[in-house]
Amino acid sequence: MAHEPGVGERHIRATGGRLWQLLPVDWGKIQEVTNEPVPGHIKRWWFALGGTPAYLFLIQITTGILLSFYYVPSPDHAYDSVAAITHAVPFGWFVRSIHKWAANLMIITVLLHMCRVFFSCGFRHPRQVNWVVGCGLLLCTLSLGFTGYSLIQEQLSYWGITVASELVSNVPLLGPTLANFMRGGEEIGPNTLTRMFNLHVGILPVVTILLIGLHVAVLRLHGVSDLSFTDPRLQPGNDRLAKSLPGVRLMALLAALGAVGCILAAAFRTTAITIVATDLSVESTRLLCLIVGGLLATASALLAQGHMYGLLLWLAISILAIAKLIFDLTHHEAIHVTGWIVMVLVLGVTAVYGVVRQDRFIEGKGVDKPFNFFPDHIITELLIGTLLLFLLTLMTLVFPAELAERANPLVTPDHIKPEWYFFFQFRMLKLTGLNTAVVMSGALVLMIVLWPWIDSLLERIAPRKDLGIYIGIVAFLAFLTFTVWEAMV
Amino acid sequence: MSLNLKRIIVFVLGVALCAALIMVAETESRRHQPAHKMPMSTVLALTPEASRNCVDCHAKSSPAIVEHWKGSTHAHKGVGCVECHQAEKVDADGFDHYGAHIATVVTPRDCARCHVKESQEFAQSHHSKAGNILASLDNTLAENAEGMRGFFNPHSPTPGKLVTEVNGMASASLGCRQCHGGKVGLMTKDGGMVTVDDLKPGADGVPTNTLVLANLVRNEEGRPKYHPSTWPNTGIGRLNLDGSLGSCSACHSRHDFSPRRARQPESCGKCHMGPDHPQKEIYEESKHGIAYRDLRDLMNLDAESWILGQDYSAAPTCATCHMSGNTKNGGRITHDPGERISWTNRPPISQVMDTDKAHKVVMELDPTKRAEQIVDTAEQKRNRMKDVCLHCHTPDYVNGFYKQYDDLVILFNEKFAKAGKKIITACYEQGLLTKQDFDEEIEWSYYLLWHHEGRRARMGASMMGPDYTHWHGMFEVAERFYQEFIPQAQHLVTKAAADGKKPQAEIVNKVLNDVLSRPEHGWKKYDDPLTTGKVPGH
Repeated sequence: MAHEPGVGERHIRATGGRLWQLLPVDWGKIQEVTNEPVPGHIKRWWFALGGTPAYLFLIQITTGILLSFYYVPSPDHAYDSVAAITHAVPFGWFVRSIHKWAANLMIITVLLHMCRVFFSCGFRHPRQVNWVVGCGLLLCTLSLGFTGYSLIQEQLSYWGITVASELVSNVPLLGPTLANFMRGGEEIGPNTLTRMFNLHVGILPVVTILLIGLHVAVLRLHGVSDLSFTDPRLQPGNDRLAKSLPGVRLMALLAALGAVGCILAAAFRTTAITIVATDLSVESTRLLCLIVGGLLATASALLAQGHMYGLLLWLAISILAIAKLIFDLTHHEAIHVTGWIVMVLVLGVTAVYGVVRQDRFIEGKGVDKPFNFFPDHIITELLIGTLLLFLLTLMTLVFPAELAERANPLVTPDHIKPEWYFFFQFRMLKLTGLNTAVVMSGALVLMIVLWPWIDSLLERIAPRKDLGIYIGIVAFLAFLTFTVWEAMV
Repeated sequence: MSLNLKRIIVFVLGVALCAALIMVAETESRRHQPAHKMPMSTVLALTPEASRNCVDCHAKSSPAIVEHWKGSTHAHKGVGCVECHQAEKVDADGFDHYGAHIATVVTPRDCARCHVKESQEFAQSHHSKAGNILASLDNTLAENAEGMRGFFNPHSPTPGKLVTEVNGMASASLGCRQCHGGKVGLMTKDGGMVTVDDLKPGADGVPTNTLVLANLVRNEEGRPKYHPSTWPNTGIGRLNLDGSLGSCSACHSRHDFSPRRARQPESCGKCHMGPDHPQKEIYEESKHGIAYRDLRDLMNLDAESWILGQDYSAAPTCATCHMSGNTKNGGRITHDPGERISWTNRPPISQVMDTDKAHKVVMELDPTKRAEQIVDTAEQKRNRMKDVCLHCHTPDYVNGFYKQYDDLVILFNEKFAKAGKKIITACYEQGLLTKQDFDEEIEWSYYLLWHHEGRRARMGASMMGPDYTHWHGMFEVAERFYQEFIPQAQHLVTKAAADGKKPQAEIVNKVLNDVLSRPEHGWKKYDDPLTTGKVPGH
């Protein structure tokens, strides 16, 4: 009886015999495993946020290896070697800037990914373990950020470690031991830098890689839950779509007026504007007006069709305008206050109206159909990756990584702040005091890690009331408020 | 809660995160931005309402001055254009300019609206009185020898330019007054001008004689025209229309009013240089100047507080020693540079800086009367300077230096200055010289002896410039004295004797012989012009 070849064997024979036998892997199986169909809802941008930190982590590994060729992890030479990378080594400034901005972006995208999982309740049974692994990755990312800027040996590095080790030493029971381990002694000294370096290039990356592997493996084991969005056009009770609502029509009209205004400004404006503390040239101002005009025109067209993305654009513009107003008011820099307040009110009220009516907005995707991981999803990820690389390059050009003063234990700087992702904690520290801050931070981390179980408890207390979501919104807004607050004092 | 609403929540929070990060980035980048890079919107927001129109318009018509102002501490503290340029309705040079009543020239009286202490100190200083050189020897030179008091006709046509008359005061306007300051004048319809002398302002700066204002040349805006021979002028002792003396922008250039610039020697070097008072060059020759040139980067020149020993220690500039605060005087800055100077080396014979109420040097010899008049002694002034020195030097070192300095000043005073003065005074008294300055050779010699060479020697000694003390200083003093001044005096005696003024010639000759027979001049032989009959080669 003739031997019936299996699927894998068939594949090996088909793709060319002897060479493939050198690596006797069942490629067919691998294709089967990796190319599992992806549920249709993943096409939506907010479900693709998880891949971005991973992509950025790859960039970090690459640029980190390049930086390690020149970085000297010794207290006497660390600062000078970073200075050499920044000023002398060819493309050193570029690699360092990419490393810096990718680190920041990685933290932002981890937060956003977490935010998405949190609000779509992706942590619920049976996916609790993956949430915990994800929390581990968040802590790894933050620790990588902290150990990373400790290596530069500038003022922020030294005083950052000082504050952090003070915090750690106040942990109940274990505190002093932990702090000594972190510093490599009673005081910050040569050992500290070695430990930070070891953590940054050795332990933490390995742990992160392992956790990412585990994260993906667990995800694949559970499979992606199939969520379905329903198109209002298919819903029986929804006889009036957004495009026929007078409020949405008004929004479209306002956006169109705004677009015309911006395009006119792009053509005729002669005075420059300031954006993020930078005076633009008149040409850049006009270009910016043109871009904003284009965005508003798009928003107007999408709103006129009652499309979801029109509403999202409108929301984004509203939030940015509100932020600008808050900033100007807190800095006592608002010039045309009444005008701004009126505009913010109009934007805010219409945005809230839009959110209330969100179930009437259509989305051109129709019914979500499952699609292939390869090449469909990979292409989406590649697109996001390319966009990120473009953004990173832009950031390095506009805001290249700079080098502040050398660490000096004798001089406490006037403005000593950690990186922005620790602002929240720094503010908490300033508001409460060392002991309370430590306990609160610990409690907070514990609460985040144990959230799946807390959430199920809340569900049991008040079923289908989505208490967790409201807590999440308040917590996130508190995080933002504390962060901005800390920046402004 | 629908999936769609959850998506909107994630989106809103995500955008809010981005907005928060932009706010964080903006705040941080502003904190680390140097003052002159502050964005325009911030500056405008800080600018008082009244000045925003000025900024809007002048950003187009004269963008650089707006840019300069933008980087100034003024802009950052909300001091706009009107705050300084505002004029009272009664001010002679005020005019309405797009709704604001302003004047072009900003005087110390304007600055004193806020900077009270600074303007008081400045008013006491010799700086503010620099305009009072009118009718001094220097002025005689510029107005007679270099130019002419008034206009004269050109010799011949100048191709390409119609010259109908020559302004004899051009050298005085540009040479003397750009440092010393001159009277600011408003043009009248008959081509003349109105100055502080015509307006006779009271203590409050308000003119008591306004009749002269009727005759001013004004443009359609009502803006009076400054007489071009008096404006532009930022001389430090400018005589302003409101009766105030001086100009703050002489050191604190407009419109950035840069403390950084005033701290640098180049600022003082606009005037304190050249053959008659080369302080800038002496400083550059000294170890102080050498250190400054080398360590300029460590001088913390941009700092808001600039206290020696606290904010910087690398090297001293002119301001460090003469004006700025230091840790030993509690950081007290003075705008009277004379407060730490113990000798005045400006006059022919150096004077000890014991000063009276009016900040004038007390010349009284009687010790009790002298003690009554003195308000601030030279010793007190020297101690203030020593406070600065002691930041780097030991007391022995400082006292040793002052001994060396005193010795040189006294050497010049006693060997050359007093001798020269005695001889030339005798010549004037006995009628061997006319009253007109600079019409006889010996007058030029004597002037160069003390005003140029003698000052160079003394100032060189005061600021540790050996070459200026010796080769540009005492050597040239000696050469001038022995090779020109004395032979010229002897010649005058011989000539007077020959002209039938024998008694007068004998009196002058006695003075001359008394001086030359002193041991300090005994190193060489002198022929008596009357007995030997030898006429020196002059």
